[in-house]
Amino acid sequence: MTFPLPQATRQWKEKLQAGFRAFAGDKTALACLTLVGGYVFFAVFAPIIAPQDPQDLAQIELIDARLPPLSLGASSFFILGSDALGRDIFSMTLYGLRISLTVALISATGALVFGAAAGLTAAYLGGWVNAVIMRVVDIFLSLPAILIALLFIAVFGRGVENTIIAILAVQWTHYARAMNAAAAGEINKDYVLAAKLLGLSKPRIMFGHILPNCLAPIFVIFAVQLGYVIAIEASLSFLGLGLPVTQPSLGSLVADGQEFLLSGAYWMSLIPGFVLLLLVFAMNVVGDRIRVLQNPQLQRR
Amino acid sequence: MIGALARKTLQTASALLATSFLVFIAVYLIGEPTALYDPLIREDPERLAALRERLGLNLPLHEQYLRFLANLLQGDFGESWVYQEPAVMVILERLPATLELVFIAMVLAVVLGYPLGLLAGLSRNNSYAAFIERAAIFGYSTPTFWIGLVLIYVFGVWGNILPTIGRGESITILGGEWSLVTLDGLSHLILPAVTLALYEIGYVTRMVSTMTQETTPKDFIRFARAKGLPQKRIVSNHIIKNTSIPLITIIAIETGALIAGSVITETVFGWPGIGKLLVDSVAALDRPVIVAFIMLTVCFFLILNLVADLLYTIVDPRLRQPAGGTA
Repeated sequence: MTFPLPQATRQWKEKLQAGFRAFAGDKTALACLTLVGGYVFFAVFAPIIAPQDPQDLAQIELIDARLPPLSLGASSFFILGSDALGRDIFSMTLYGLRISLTVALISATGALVFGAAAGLTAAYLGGWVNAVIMRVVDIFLSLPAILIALLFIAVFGRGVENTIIAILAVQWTHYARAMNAAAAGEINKDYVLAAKLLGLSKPRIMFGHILPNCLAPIFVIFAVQLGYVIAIEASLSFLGLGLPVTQPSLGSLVADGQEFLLSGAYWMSLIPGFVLLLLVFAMNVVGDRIRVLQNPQLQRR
Repeated sequence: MIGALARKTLQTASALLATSFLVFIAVYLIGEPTALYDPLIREDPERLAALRERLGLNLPLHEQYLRFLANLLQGDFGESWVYQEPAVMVILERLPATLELVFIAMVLAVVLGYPLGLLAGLSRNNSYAAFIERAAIFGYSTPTFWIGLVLIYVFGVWGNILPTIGRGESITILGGEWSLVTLDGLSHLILPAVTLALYEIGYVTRMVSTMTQETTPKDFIRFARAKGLPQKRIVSNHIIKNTSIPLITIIAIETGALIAGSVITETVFGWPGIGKLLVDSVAALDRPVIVAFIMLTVCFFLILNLVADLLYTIVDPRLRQPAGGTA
């Protein structure tokens, strides 16, 4: 806090630019980052871009049902075909993408906040609190994600909030563990001792002083896990145990189209699935690139 | 060695106890268990009281938990509300179908993933290696259900070469139904097994590649190089040996993950294993089956972890030293 603010912001800007240059050293990763940006654009502007609002019954003509891609229907041109009710697959995919991304961002952020708080509290208080919290983390981590998610769905039921809770339950442990390790390395440093001697309160030391020094690994995990979060939500929705029918995500669209696959109507399920696959892939490549840049051991000497 | 074994076993037991407690809280405390019974019983105070007594809901909480625990130890998870037979039996009947699926998938994953990962990890700046690594990320980014549907479309609808739904003819061996041994069974097994394996091939490839990259810059490899050992021997004697230890853990843990992860594959292909059973049970709120499933899987997982730890001790002599080390 001794720096005048302009200099500090300049430092941040330089750091970010250097980070971006390093990131752009890998062309595939850069392409994937662009792709993710494109996805975000489409998700944000879905209501403007989509030719049809799939939830608005007035815009849907049953006569347009099951049209293959690139066909001209009664109500509009169906670039990616239509489903069994005559809804435009392109529009549904855009809205589904919007729902998938929103749910993923909320649950990943929730997991980050909850996990980091748990890991930090455990590290700072130490003793039996640390032992209990980290043991629970170990048990959660030793179980497969889909099983934990299904258990939470079984207990709380389906729906948007419960899907978010289920994903949070799967994800918080990654943050808790990383935060715990990072904070354990900070706790004995002089600035923490100084803060203690000043008589600052525990929450203030934890969140005001230790936390800012432990953020890097947390954000790396966020980047690495985001693609995975989208995949879990899609899996739950595909199983019919995630988002409700009124809020179809990409996974729900695949599930809805599945029954028409055997009669040859591949576009209803395979196209939203492909959009999902590209999104998860691009996010994983971006996350992986960030992980590699943060881990000097993985870089070429 | 015995001390380490005892300590690990104790840890496993305490983790199991903790899980049983968590499951008890999750399943028996949230919501009123009688809410799912016939309204005729629920709205009659006398019959409700009788039901609560029969289910042990009138007892204090700690006694309810002890009762729950005692039943668990006897393998009694209650009767499935859907199938009207003991929950454990419902699961065990479907276990062989899942086991054969997982077995084939795991074999595919190791046989294909290990060499690919080694290749990618050894030649870092090679564009070919970078391609393998991206392909691996692609492999584990692909949603299982999407791959399954593509395979169904290509081989079932388009080509009409392979069966896409259900399990083939099976033969009873050792009390279980196995379809692995019949031709019809094998043909039904191919598509689901490949679907399940795809994620795992990507995962194993990436893990092996990362482990190889982390091993190659280490001092003992550099020393071997300085000593003039040929690359072939460095790889076979040092890198493979050192990456195979973590690989054992990965295989052990991933076998469990595949069993639980077969949920989606089994749903796509209508495969009558325990994964599909779990989805159906969650959808139908068949509580005894869900509890039995979770307890058995957790148990299985912790035992897998224990076995992996013990195998570690056998493969890596440093861990055999008396307690106090990093083991």
